[in-house]
Amino acid sequence: MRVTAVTDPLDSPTDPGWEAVPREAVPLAPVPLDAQPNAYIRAAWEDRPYGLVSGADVAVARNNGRLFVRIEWSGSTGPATNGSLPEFTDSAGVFFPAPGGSGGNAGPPATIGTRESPVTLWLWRDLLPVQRSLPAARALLGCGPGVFRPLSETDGAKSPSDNSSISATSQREGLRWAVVISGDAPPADAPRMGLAVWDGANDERAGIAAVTHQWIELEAGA
Amino acid sequence: MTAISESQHGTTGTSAQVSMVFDLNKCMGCQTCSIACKVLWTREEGEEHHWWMKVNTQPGLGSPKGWEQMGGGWKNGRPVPGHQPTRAEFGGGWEFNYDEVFYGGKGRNVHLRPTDTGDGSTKWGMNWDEDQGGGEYPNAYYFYLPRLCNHCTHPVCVAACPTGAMYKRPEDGAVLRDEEICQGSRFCMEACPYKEIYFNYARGIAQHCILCFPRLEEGVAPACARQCPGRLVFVGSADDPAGPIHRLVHEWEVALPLHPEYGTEPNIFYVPPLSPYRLHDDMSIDYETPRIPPEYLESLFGPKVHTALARIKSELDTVRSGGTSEILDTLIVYRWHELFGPYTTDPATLDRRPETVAVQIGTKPA
Repeated sequence: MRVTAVTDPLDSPTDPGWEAVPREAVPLAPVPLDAQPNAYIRAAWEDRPYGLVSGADVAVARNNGRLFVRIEWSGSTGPATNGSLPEFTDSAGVFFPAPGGSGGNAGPPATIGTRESPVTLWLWRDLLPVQRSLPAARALLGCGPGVFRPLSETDGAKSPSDNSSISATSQREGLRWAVVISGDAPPADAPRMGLAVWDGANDERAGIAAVTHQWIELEAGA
Repeated sequence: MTAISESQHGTTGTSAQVSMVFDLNKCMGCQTCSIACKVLWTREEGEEHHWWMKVNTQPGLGSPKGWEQMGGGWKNGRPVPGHQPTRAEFGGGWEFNYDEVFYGGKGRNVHLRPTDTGDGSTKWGMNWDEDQGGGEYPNAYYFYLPRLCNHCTHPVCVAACPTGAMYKRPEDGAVLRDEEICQGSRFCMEACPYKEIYFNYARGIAQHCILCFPRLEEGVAPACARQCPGRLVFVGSADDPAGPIHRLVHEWEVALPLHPEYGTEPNIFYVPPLSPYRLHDDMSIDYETPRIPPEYLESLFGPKVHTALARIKSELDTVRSGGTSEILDTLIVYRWHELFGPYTTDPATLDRRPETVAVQIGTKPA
């Protein structure tokens, strides 16, 4: 996937500048059940479909060392209209091989990292009104499906992993989400990216997700 | 590189286990324990529906509504999928029409009432079916059941947590959660068969009773136990052979876990309730039949409830005949401090400066 250099930051999914950035349809498939991190989750989901979002349109831009990833997909439900709090909300994330993993970046993306080959996950989630104090996006270390944890100094948490550098803006029209997640660009020796989407209406969270089963190779473009 | 080890997904050994015994024959359902916990731990936004300690009326649907039918726990060594209770099933965090009554100029005509936000939250509460109980007049019956996290020996919530945020603290066996690591996936809420874990919607993390561990560390009994006016909550180690909990649970076997069939080996125990005898239709006493059906008590406390109740009745007969009973003397609790084992420190004697307290509960002072 080509990373388009742009002259201005494209923080918003409705920024007209995205029209000049090529989009690609990225297929998604469920995280394998046998890769789920514990017996409880495997038992709870063995007879229940998950990873319901089958694909997303993705575009990637770069500006002054900052990477902007625009993700557009259709969820299964629109916003709640009766004022009630949904238990789980829609969510999306992009991830990159984390620096320093003993397994390098050879691990498949379908598990959102492994203990040997962790990933840096930029995670956006649709926040509830009561969650106004929480950030819309944050950086996590992914060591497996749902085996996410905050980054720490011992993780070598510098750019692009630094939480403060991650931001996201979202736009919803009916069932259609468009989200831009941005952060300091990952190091040049790891020009690949994975994508995960969670359908909140299906109680998807943690490793119960739709994910890219192949790395998205990022190529520098003009 | 910090990785999460597989061992963190399971249980770990503990060198000690703090346990509690609730004598249901003394509980009067006053909810003082509930309020003591509420004002100490769950007053923040997002915690409105949190009742880490509450008293349910039995028989009843309890809190969350119908919790005994929501699954979870262990069966044949495998975790049992469960339902994640919703905010409405807990009874929500009730909102009231304060603006309308106090600031809308209608104070003389409009009464204070709960306002439903559309999710049915005002259609249940932690004591919604209080005192309803079961049976028919003149043989109606009920009893109170204080409920909190059981700080289980085999906590399925810990096993279900994908991040390793949940753990069993070795020094006292408290089942705790690292709130910095918790990502709010709520598998713990599904897996817990007692449905004693709550979601904090404002913070996006799960929370539950912490066994008042900051108090234990200072030698102070948990708030629910210390504030109980009925002197019915014992705190201490079940492994101390001289302590009341060990004697009540293991030696005399009159204190039992709730729903032992859930397989998590709870560390909260209950002295089951005695009951008056049933009345015949002519209002004469049926001395053969207790008003609380034994099979109902067995459904709560397992088959050992029959021998436990028989033991207590036997002790009562002994005392009525002029004898003495170590069991009853223990349950009467002549000296208040004997309830609390090593946790008898008066919290009023501690340094309660805000910055000190904030450090204890792991949050920054305001």
